[in-house]
Amino acid sequence: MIIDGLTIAYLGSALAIGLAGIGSAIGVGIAGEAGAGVLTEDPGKFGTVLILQALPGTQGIYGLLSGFYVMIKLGLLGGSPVTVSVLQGVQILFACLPVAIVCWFSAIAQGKTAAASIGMIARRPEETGKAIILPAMVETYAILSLLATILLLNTIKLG
Amino acid sequence: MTTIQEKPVATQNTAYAYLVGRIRMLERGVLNGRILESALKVEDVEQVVRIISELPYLSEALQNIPKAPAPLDDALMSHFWETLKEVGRQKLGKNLSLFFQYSFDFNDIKLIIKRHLAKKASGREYPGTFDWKKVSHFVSGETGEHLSDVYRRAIEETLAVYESTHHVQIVELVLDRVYLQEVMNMAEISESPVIKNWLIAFFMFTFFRSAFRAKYQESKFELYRTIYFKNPYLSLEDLSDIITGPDEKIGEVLVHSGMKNILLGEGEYRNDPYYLAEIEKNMDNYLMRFIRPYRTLTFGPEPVFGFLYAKSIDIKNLRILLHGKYFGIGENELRNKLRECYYE
Repeated sequence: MIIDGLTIAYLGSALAIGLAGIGSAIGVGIAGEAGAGVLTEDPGKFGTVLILQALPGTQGIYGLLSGFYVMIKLGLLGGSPVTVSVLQGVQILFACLPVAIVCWFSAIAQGKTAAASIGMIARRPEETGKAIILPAMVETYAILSLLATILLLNTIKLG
Repeated sequence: MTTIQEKPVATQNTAYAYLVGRIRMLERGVLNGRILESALKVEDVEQVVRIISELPYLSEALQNIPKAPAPLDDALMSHFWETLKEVGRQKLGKNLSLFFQYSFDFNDIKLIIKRHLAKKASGREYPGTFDWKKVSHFVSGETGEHLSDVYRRAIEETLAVYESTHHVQIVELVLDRVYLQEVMNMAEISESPVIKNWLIAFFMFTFFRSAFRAKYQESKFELYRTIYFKNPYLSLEDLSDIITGPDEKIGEVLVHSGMKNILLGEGEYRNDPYYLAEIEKNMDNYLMRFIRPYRTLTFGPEPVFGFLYAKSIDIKNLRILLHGKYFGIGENELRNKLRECYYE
């Protein structure tokens, strides 16, 4: 079987969407479990818990965004794919790795931090602001990886 | 005895996220040093209840309860029991609450057997996981009643030993032995090294406590040895040294078993009830200090177990406070009896 450049580029797009999505699903799941525990005792905290639970979901969006950007670049959404050499395909694959890997791990880490913050608002509801800032710090690295992926993709010139 | 002296690493298992989230809410109802200090300063039981009612969950438990030690005691006990049941309903919480539920169940069985031996009609029932009538029937010889293996074994062994000795104290000792065997089993299968070591420390303290009491009451060692079973942490010789040896020997046994810090002052043992009460307090405080650092964890069974232990200590502290205020015991004397809180 011959692997062409387009297939390798698909792999990059798939990894960005897939790994970041998996990370987000795990992160949101962890935060959700902690949130469910708090809501069992006090359903009034739903609003804050929801914000904290949603935070690890953003990595999945960044992965999807990068994946779509690759698809647009390849002309897939317009219905007329461009020609991609094997080297260009590999370049696209590597460009997708920052967002795929960083978002995968950071979403899980953010989910754990969000769960800890949910525990914090359970005991100290007055500290909601600080509780949101802590998991939001993890977001920085997901944003940086998205930026790196977009910049890397922009350097690749397709015919 | 290196195992329980090391600071074990917690498990950080994210499967406990739900339970820990729930515990974080419930922890708002745990006593803290400030509340206890305020409660110590007031004059009577009613004012103590007013102060502790500041705490969520406890306030609900104490609503419309007559302000006297006995009904308040019952209300606190059933509040703790309901908390245990609630945690035990979760799949992962079942084993964690089991340790605390066992203490209720084994106390219930002791009472049922003693009533049976005294040929008393069945009286008041206390919280427990089993049906009191079934256990009473079983104790009376209706062995067809369905009982869990642990309780079946406990009752059968107790009655068999009683048959051969006709000594009522044996009931307590045999049931304590079966209880401690279960604690040992729990420690062995515990997924958390922290809880495992905590259980081993508890296990050793229970042996020490009963040995100190036996020494004070000048019980026969032959009777006391009924509680003992072979284990890797304490030998029968160590316990024999405590009960039959000179007071100076006790410090040596505790140093050798890694539990020197439960002794007071210069580490010299005194065979008097005040000293024993102080040592028991030190044991409770040791267990609290052991589990307390893990309360900040977000994942794993440790914060859940720590919370349940904190609740059990709260009940002990509240009992001391309520009874103390009722009988007019002074503030300082009461303060000396109180255990350390989970949150200071």
